[in-house]
Amino acid sequence: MLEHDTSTTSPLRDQVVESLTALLGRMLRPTAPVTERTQLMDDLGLSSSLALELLLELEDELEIQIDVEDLDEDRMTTLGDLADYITANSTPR
Amino acid sequence: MPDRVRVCVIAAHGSPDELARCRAVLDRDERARAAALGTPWLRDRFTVAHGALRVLAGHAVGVAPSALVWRRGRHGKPTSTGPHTSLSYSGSLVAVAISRDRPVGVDIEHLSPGRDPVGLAARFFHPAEARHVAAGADAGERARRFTRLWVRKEAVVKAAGGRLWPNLAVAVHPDDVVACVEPAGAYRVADLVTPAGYRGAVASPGDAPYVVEFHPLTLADVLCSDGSMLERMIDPPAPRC
Repeated sequence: MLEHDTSTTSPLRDQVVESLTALLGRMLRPTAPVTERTQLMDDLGLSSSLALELLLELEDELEIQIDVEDLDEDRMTTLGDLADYITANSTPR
Repeated sequence: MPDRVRVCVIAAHGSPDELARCRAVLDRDERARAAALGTPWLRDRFTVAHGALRVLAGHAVGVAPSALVWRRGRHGKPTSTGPHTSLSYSGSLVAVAISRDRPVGVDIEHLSPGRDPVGLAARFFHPAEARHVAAGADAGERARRFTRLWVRKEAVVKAAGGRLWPNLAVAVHPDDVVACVEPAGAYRVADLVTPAGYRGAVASPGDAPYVVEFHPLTLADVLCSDGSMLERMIDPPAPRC
């Protein structure tokens, strides 16, 4: 697995945040703007089955493979948390 | 005599009076979680789900619904001070599983017409399961197959108190005894009878059989204050309150 820079200025992380924001807007049609601080389950009601769909769409869009082995609810509390996880646990296809 | 697991499936929304009665039994944390949800529809569904869980679990052990406490385990599995419980909601339905005898996990899922189940199964499921999904005769059958596998996986993980993601590739079909990998162990899973457009499953640790008592209830049934709802669960011909 490639070691991605997980700082908040990482280009991959920026792409992940941008894509997640767009995908969540399309899938869940939230009434409030989605930001890095948006809580995926508590604010948006994201279910685990939708999370699965979200990750697959993100993989296709960014042409990456996300290693989900270490993923946990605690690591996807907010959009920013999930972006951190994906940035640190993905490989280019 | 085999252990019993009760599963109730309830419409996720109710009248203003029913919602108020559900809200009244929630604790402070549950009320805050409901209030934080982004739409009234999500807030009402959360309120009904957790209110119904409290009422049903309280009735099962003769404790006031608001007196029950759930504590979250390492991976988020809530364990109650009353009976073994599990809760799931999707679309317009709520599923509550309760057992005095053994830990339980329940999951209900609304079929999602826009989803590509073949791609999802190929990416995340056991290869044999991915082939099973892809072999469905049409899009509807492929969605039904995918969703059935999904709820069986979720039910096992919830019964185990494990994490979903490492267990996604665990085979839950065709056998009903499933080898969960994290935490390692055997779990017996059973499909639920659900309304059209939904799939549901319940799971419990071990390979010993158990009896699933299935109860489609209305929220009015659940909120019966005189306990006759419970009698109806045990003996279906009993009159409603």
